Amino acid sequence: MRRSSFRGLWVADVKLFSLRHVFREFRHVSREPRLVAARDLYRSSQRERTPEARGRKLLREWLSPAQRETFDAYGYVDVLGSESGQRYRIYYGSISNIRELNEKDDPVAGLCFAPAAALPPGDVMLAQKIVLENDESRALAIANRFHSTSQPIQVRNAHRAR
Amino acid sequence: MATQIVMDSTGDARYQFAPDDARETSEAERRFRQLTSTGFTAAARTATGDLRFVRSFDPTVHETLFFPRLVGG
Repeated sequence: MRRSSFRGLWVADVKLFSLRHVFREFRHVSREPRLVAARDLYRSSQRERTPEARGRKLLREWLSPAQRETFDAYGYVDVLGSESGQRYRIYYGSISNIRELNEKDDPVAGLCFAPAAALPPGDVMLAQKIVLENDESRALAIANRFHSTSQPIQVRNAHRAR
Repeated sequence: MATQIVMDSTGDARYQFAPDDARETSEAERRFRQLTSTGFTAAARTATGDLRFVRSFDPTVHETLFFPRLVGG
């Protein structure tokens, strides 16, 4: 018998067996519903702490119910200019993410302005929304206007990213 | 409790204060002045959900949001 003639190998085998046993048990235990729920909760809380997630949360908190619904479904926010009543669509993003819309909801021009700081997209969108809805002329005075008849290129479902 | 929310690279920083506590209110007012003097814009939410700019410190405002100076892109 190999194990009886090589005691060292036998001991190693036993240890290996024990380790396998422990891992098997751990794998079994790690599938326990309560542990799975705790692990998911931990991962979810970690995801919610990223700047992007916090920015999205802040934005959603400050949107009107209708805007929140649109944002959740499509990833953009429609706002009305405070002075002209012009409709603007703010897409999820930080750069060149605003479009002026015509009566058919088609983009006719792009606007680019943002807070002068490194902020997550949700924060940028919220600042853009507040200024367009409350001081449109200030926003237009600051913004760079560019020709655009299409929406910005976006990562699909980025506004829902986890 | 009233809250001051300041946008930053982490998403935001939140500072709470009790409007009936003189020391906390004074600290909140100091923060308001410091932020607005460095280019931040303050906005508040009204009871109806509308947003408006806030030009001076008002301890009765439930939530005040501060965002940095805007620039053209």
